[in-house]
Amino acid sequence: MHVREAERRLGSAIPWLCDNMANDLKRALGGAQNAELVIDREGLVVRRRAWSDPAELRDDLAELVGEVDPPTRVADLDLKTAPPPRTVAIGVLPRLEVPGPMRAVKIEPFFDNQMQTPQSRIPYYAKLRAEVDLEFLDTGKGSLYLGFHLDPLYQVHWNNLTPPLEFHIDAPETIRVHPSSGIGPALKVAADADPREFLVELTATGRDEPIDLTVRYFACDDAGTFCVPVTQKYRIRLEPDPFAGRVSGRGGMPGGRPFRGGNLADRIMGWDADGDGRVVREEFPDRMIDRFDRIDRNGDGAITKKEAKREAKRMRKDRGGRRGGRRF
Amino acid sequence: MSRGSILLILMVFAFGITGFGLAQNRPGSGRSASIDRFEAAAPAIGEPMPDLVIYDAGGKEVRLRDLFRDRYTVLVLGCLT
Repeated sequence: MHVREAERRLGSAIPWLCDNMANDLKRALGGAQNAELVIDREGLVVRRRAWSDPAELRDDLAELVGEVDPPTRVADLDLKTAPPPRTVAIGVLPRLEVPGPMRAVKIEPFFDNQMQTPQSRIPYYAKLRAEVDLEFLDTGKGSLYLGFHLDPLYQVHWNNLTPPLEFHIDAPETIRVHPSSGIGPALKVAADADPREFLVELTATGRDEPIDLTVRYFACDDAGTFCVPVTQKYRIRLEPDPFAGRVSGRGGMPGGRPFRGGNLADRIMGWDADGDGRVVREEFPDRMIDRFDRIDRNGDGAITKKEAKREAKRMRKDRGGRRGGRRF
Repeated sequence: MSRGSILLILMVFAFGITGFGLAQNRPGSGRSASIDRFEAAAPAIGEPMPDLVIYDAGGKEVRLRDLFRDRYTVLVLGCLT
């Protein structure tokens, strides 16, 4: 449904395909973001490029199947490249401050008997982002970030004249969530598109069972053609999701506002995208990649918490009470 | 060259509700890291594409290898939203 909507909105004449929810193709291609491949009639890869390049692709195709005259230009495709004008306010609701580095956890849509087919076909106008802090992953006690972000594809907003978004969490006996429900703010501005964010405390003696979240909100489209109540459910598994990516519009750490506190070791371990307790080169920020080998003291290609702590200690010693200097 | 001899496909990863903004500023997943991962994991020239079941825009299952019959196919990957 989401892909079809994108196809419609963008006016693309090129067929779109969608990976399965296990991200099998993405995994098979190393998580490539913008790659392109040319495959021959036998299903064999004949050209591969890690980052799409239309000019090189054109040369490839000319070599493989011959030149065309005249060639198709981007303008011929009549794609809608300009974003629609924004009609509601943004930036009116301050972003949530999170307690430290956060890790996205696995979530999936969930339908129960009370939500028959019509509900299941309602788009996820607001999409949940769920993250836990490193403390929770280490000890079973920590914070859970819940962010409900409007999907720009659907061009909807929060109508603040309607009841605000609210959520409720049902957890198994092994997981205590406090508070287990929440309600969004009542804003004076009539409409906005800022994410609705919450932070709840988690105490888990076991993480095998998921928690279920129900969210209710009104989705109102920017064109003013509908404003409908929506009830949707998610199943949240409190384990890191290496494919969850990051949330647009935030600089530092996942979850709420960029994280500025904590110690250096925690910051380094905050880049452990797959939550395996090691920061590998691919997870390390590009802008600081020249420091990777120095921190990875045993040269095994991964930074452990012990090595991160050692680096933090070394940097403290280097500074020796000096203020400022180069920082992570 | 006949345009009909080439199928161009946009491949969208199904991040669904979890994939918000993947292509943004995730540490370690910038352009160079993405390229490195692709180079290490993707099928090499002359190797077959994996035989996976994915979906078309209407949600219908599609076997990836079935797309490649009788013509060259261009697969361009991307992330939606």
